[in-house]
Amino acid sequence: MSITIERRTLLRGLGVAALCAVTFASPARADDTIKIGFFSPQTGFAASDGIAALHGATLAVQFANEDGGVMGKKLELVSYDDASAPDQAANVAQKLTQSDRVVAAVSGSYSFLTRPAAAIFQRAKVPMVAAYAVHPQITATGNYIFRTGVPSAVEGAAAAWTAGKLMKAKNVALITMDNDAGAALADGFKKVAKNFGVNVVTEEKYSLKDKDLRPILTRIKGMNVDAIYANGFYAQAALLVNQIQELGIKTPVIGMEGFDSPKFFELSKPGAAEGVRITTALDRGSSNPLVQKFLAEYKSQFGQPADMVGASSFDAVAVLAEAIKRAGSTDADAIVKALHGIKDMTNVTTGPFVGFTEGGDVIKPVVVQEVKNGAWVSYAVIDDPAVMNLH
Amino acid sequence: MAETITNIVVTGCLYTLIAMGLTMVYGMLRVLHIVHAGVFAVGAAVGLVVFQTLPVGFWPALFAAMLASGALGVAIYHIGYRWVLDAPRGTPLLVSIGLFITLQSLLEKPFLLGAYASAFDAPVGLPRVQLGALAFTPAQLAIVLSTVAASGVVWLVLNRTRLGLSWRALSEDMNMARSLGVATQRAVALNMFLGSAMAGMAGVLVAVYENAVSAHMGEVVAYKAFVVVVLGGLGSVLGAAVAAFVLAAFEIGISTYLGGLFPRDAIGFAVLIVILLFMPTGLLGRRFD
Amino acid sequence: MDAYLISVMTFIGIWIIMAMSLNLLVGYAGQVSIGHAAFFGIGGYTVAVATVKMGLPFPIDLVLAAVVSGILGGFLGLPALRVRHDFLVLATIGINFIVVAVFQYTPALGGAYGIVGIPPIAIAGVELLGLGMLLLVAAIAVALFVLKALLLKTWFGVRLIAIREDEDAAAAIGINVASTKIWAFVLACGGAGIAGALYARQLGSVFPENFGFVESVTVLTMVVLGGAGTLIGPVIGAIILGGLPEYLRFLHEWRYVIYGLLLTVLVIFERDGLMGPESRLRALLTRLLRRAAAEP
Repeated sequence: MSITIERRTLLRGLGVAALCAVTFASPARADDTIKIGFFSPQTGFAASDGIAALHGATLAVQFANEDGGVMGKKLELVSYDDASAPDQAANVAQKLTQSDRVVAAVSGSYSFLTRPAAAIFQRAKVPMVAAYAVHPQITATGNYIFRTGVPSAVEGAAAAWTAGKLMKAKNVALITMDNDAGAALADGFKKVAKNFGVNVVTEEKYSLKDKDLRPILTRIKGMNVDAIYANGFYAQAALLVNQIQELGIKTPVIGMEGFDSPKFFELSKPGAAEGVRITTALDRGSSNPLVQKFLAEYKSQFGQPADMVGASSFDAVAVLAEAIKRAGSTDADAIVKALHGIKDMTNVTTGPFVGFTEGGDVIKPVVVQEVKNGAWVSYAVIDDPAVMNLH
Repeated sequence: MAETITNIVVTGCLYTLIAMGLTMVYGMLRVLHIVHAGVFAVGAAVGLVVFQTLPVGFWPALFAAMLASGALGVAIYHIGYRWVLDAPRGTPLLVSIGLFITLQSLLEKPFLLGAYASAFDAPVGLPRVQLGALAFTPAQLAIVLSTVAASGVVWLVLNRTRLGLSWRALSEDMNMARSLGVATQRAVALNMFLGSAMAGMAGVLVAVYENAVSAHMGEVVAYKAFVVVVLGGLGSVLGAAVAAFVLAAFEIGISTYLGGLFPRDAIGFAVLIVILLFMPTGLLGRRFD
Repeated sequence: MDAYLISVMTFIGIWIIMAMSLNLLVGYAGQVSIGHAAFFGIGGYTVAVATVKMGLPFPIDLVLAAVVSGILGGFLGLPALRVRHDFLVLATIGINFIVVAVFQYTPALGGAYGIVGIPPIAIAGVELLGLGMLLLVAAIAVALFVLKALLLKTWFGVRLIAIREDEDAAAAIGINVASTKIWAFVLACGGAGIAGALYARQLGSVFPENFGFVESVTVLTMVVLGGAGTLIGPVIGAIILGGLPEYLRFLHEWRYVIYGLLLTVLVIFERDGLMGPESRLRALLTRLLRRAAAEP
């Protein structure tokens, strides 16, 4: 009787140990690939952005490998889901640096997940590129941390430029998400508004949980505004234009790259999105063959048109691949040096990348797109140093 | 001002629909039925799928969604709550949480809703209506009419049928009612069915109003519905309706006239806490111990 | 030792402290709170402000976090005197939302930007990272476990349980229900503050998003799944639920579907929690321990 129980317990213990081994074991080290780490929210409420980012990164690796790889080896993407939980982002960062031993990594996540991970990558001396997280302090984490998404100071200023210089709007109302992305963009706008002749009449904050923007819009309707500068992701963008239409508001809207998604059109009522202008970095009409190849390949492989998140993520991986190529080595410091040495990279979808600031933020022009007949068309390109060199 | 009143009316109706169903289930089972928000989302999903795949209009799709949601509610009772009704309070809550997480995660999968939101652009076949200074779009009118109809049905059932009588008896004291011969299982199942059907109805109406169906659309409902239910007095259907409009009025009123001082949800909770301090069992509630 | 494993265990240690503190409130005082993450956050933000803005060293920031969370928790106890049961549950959720809104809308607390750049704990000039941090968290968890066990053996512990069983009866025999409840909140929220302090140090940043409703639900789930009102229950709950997302990584995008199902099934099978008084797991472990003690 006692022997049987002991054997059962032993078997159970072995089973648990086996499960742990499977879960926590490091994958076999294949030295014939160059590993690029990647993490994003692939389950949970932010999964749409996380999966789009994963798609973009996957395509970048695919294109690089089709092009002969890097240093004669193939690139391999090691991807993890952080489920929008900061502790998971931290755990995954440890896994990527210590177990998977990636050469470099890309964050396809928001700021509150990227920042804890960045601290770990910096300490481990592994270069990390943030694809679209907007918090100003991310690149300040250290010299190994870079960002290829448009810095918020630049994007906000570009919106102010668009409002003041291009649209000649004097009085502008701000509708801002109450998270860090919203705050950063609004701050970028407010900082330079006066320089471009714009007066900020009001700033209205809203929570991402809030689907009803009518109270804010009703307030703005009663004010004298020439334009509305709004930030939000595709779902909020659609709610905004639908409710603007419903309330009969005619004020033109300037949005941001979060609007830059085919879902924005899908969720907008007919005609609601017409005339909206956004600051973004993806020019879908670009003559750059890479952009067109990216758009076509994304659509055919993943069944829906690419969005800005996917494009940003693609570029983050692409720039790392380029840096490793130029460095001719996978040594972290060499990669960092090579990144800073990039002065005019056009092989990206949201470029050209003019360079990186000392802090690691990319310098690139901002593209303004407008909705005409239900599709994005080019409205302007902003590469004036007064905007582009802000950080 | 007119737009604000319209908004309060419409929002109050939506809150009423969601909360009435929840308070019915709570009143009978005393479970913190968080997965009600999951049923809400499933209802919207079913409505969308039916509308898109079958050659039917909006209202049949809504009806189908209500049936599906009702059935889901009964299933949830049989899979989950039935086993833990007399367990300590935390246990049924955890069952609800577990089921909610499962439902949301399933809806996220590509073969169901996927990670993105989907549009639900269905014509409801109603006109725009102008009542004095108040204007209602067709979708808004659909919400108001549906709420009035649903409330009417609930009132009738609760106050004019034996089923309603048995519900009230079971809510009062389940064991006593059972020993007095009330057909418990059937009454509970019907209660879950009707309450969940209302969640599904609310899901479809919200989906059409916002033109979006997504796997996580229930995340706010998960707590907001309880704010209304508790504010009204747990288990009180009339209380839920009153609280729905009180909450909507405060949330929208404060947001409109005082601007973005504070997030809307925090405002709603602050109102709830203040009212609870003066009326600890809600606006209309009975005491539960 | 594997850095990933250390990271996972460190967070589990932090959840253990959180769950143990909530258990004092839920399992022993009988006050169900789904807003505990607010005090987790207050602890985290206190450390953030203390280290980044005021340059205070360890362990002053930790003590401060416990004290601030504890005192503010005491204030939460006040509405709990008026409001009961499921009404109280909603009030606690409300407190959580309000606290997070304060974090998010107060520029001095970083507002939407949160506070970043929190340095790791340094003792005598040595930075605690990885294994060092894990050992500290484990030590604090063990210390708090022992303290809690001792506390429950005192007259205070008896008062708590009396209130949990029947508040009115407790008052009838002369127990000061109000004061006991408030102290329960102070201690529980102070404990959450300690967990939050360690969390902030481990992550290096605090954002309002870190301390919301979902986190409160998760920690309550740990307590109830493990067994509310038992000493070891919250520890088991934290180890299982805190680690489950990592253990289930091999399921890829099915992780959370299985997580939800597992939770539902486990709690139906053991309605008093996995380490509840009559649970199978407790019976098994007791048998094993007895056998180990019997064999010389």
